[in-house]
Amino acid sequence: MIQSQAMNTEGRYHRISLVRELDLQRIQNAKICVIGAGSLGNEVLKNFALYGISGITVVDYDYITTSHLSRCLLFREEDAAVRAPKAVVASRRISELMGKGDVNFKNARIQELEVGFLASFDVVVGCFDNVETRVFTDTVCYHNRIPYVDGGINGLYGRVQVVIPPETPCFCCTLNGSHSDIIDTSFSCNGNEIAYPTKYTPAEPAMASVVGGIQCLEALKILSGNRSGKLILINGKVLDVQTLDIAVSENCPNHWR
Amino acid sequence: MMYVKAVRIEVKNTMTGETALMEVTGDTKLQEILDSAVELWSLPREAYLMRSGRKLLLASKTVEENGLNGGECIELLPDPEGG
Repeated sequence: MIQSQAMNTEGRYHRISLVRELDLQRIQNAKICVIGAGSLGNEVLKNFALYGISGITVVDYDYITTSHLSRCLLFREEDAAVRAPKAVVASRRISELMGKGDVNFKNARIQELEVGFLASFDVVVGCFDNVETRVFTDTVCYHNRIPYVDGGINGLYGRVQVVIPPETPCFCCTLNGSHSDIIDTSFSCNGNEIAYPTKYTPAEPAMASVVGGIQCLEALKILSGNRSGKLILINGKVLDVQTLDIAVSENCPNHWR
Repeated sequence: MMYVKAVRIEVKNTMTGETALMEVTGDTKLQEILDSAVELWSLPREAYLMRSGRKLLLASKTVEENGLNGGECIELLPDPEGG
């Protein structure tokens, strides 16, 4: 059915099927986990839905509020009014976009899911709002040999990292003391530095589109057989996009021998 | 007596364009340079990365181990945490 739609010049997937660098059949048969259904997750999910990938699972534990409506195109005022779960609504909306089947979701934190949950996916896309969950997901993906595409935004700045275990450096390889500081702050219990409940990162919808679009494209390339690790840093203030060479860190726990 | 050669490194804050010259030695860890830059420019407590050209610098390694020579520029970049 999907293939016939791709062959038909008026078929739904015809123009996408003309992109020679991508393998539409492998992409549409893939199992993808998107963790985090905020501004980045919305963009990533929208793109995957346009490809007709029904093997998507959306994971998020959070609820929709009015503040999401300025940066999450899958959410509506009525969702915010009832504080609907982000994973439930996002999966429903991309099912509607695709016009086929129900997309799976998990209304939970990724750390709460059963051991081995991520092992069945062809690629995992991380759209988190904190370093701790990135470290967790990167580590699980690394040890299960699952490609991981991480994204992050902060105002006009963005990052995308592609990790292909075990060949490439992983997210944990890029960490330094400044990351440890913010993790320590999040977990501090001295009463003065419990930052995570009130920490709001600037979110700019166009930057979310850029970063989410790159994350999606990198995942599609992995599924099409192009497996190369990279770290892309985007400075939207001066429109500078850099792909950096990264090395395995001897301090990375995932790479300890 | 051991002779330790000082090296002058330029550090650039890519968020503001400001630069600073730092005198370091080959055994100075990049984490020390990052911490000094954050303090110098009173940057918020967020995640940062450092690069020289196209290379991501490892904070746990020294100036020498990162292959940095005098006169080179280290760029300090935000590592976006939000999603």
